Amino acid sequence: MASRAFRFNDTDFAYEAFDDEIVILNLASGTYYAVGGCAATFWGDLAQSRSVEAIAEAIANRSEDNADSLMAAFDGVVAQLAEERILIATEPSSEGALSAESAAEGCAPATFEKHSDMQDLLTLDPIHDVDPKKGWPHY
Amino acid sequence: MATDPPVGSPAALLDHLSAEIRRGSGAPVSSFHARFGSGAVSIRCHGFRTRDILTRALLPALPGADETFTIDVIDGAACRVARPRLTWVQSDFGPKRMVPGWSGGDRSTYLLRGEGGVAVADWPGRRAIVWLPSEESLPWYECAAPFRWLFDGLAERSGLSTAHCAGIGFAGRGLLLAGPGGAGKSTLALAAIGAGFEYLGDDYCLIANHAPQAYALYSSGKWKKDARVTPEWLTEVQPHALDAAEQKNVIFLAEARPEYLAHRLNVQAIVVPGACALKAGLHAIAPAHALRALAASSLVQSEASGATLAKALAQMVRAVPAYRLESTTDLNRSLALLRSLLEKGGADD
Repeated sequence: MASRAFRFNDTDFAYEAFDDEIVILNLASGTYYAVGGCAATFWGDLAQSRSVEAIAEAIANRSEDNADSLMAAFDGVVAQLAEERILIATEPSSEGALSAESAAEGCAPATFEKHSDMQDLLTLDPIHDVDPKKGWPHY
Repeated sequence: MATDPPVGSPAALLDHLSAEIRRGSGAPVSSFHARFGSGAVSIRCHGFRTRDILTRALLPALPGADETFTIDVIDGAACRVARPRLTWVQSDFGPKRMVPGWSGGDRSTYLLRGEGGVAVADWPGRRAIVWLPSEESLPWYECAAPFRWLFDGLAERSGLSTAHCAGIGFAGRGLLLAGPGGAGKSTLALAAIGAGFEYLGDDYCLIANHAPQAYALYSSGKWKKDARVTPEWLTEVQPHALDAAEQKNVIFLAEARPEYLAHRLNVQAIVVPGACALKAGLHAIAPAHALRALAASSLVQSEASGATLAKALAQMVRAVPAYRLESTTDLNRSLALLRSLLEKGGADD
C-alpha cells in the first residue's frame, strides 16, 4: 500500500508550536485550531511530508497498552487536518529517522480543536454582478 | 456627463485619479499630518466641507517625524469627479476590502463597500488615492478608525502590524487588552483613563514586529449607549458622535483627554478580559491562549499579509506573559489589578 504523506498549507495557514500543542491560524478568516497529544509531538514530521504510516508506527511503539487507540486517534486528527486543507496530500519525503523519535517516551492521544468565532466579522456585503464589457459600476 | 472609457488596471486607476487631482476642481483641499508609528502620513482631503471628518480620530504627527506616505481623498461630488468605471469582474473580489484580482506586488486596489468608493495604493511610490462619492457616504466606523484597511498594508511595509487590541499603561509600560468584540476591551481602556492610566487605543494598536512595543493609531474611543457598565468619567462628558449602526457613543480623546494619550508603550503583558466573576482576579494563561485571543480577530479584519501578522503576534505572546482577567461590575477593582501588574511586573494569583 502506498504511503500517505502531507505538507503544510502555508499559503492559507500559519502555525506556532508551543510546549504541548500546535496552534494553527487561518490567515484570512482568523479561525484557529489546536492540535495536541502525539499529533503535536510529531507535527514537524507530519507537516514535512514524512510517511503517515511511519509516524503511526512510531506512536504505536511508544505504547504497549493502547497502541490501537493512539493510532486511531492520530489517524482521525490527520483526516481532520486534511479536510480543513491545513495539510495537503503529497509524496512522502526521504526515509530516515523521524525527528520526534528521540523525544521523551510516552505519547498522549492526538487531539484536534477548531474555533471559528470570527466568521461573522467577515464582510457579508454581496458583490453586485459585473459585466466585464461595461466595467463596474456600469451606466 | 461624458462617459470615460473603463479603467483596466491598478496602474491605470492610479493615473486616472492622479490626473483628476492635477486637473483641480476649485474645491477646497485640507491637509493633515498624522502620526504613524515613528513616522507620519500626509492626508489631503479634496472637496470636503467637514475638514476633519477623516482626520479627527488620527493623532498629529510628532515634530520631526519623517513623512512616509501620502493619502489623497477625493469627494467625487464636490470635485465633480465621477466614480471610475473599472473592468474588474466578480472573480476579482474577495471577502475583504482589498480586491485580490487587482492587487499584487507594488499596488493594492480596494473596494470600499460601505462607502461605495474605490482606492488604489502605490507602495513604492508611497502614495494612495481614495475616491468617495461624497463625504456623506462615510460610515461612522470609518470616521472613528479611518484608513485602517490601508494602514494594514502600510504597517506591514514599515515593520509594524495592526493588532485588534486595546492598549493602556503607566510611565511608558503597557498592557495589551486582547479578545473579540464585546470582551470588554474598550470599556476597560476607557475606564483606565478615569483611573489615571495612559491610553494607547481601545480597538486597534500598531505593534512592532520584532519587539514588544505598541504604538497608538487612533485617539477615538467607543462605548455602547446602553452598556451595563459605563466608566464613571464618561457619564459626565458629552460624546462627540453616535455610531448609529452599532449604537455606540464615539469620543475623540485628543480633544476630550489629550493629557492621557500615549504615543508608544513597552508591552509588559497581554491581558484577556474574561467573563464576569464573583471576585476579580488575574490568572496566568499559556502563550497559546494569548495568541488565540489576539490573532483570531486581528487576522479576520486585516487587509495585510496574514503570515506577517501571525508571526508578529506570535512573537509578542512569546515575549511577554499573559493573563486572563476575571472582572466584576466594579471596574475600579479590575483597574487596580492591572495597575499592580504594571507596577510589580506580575499578578498576585
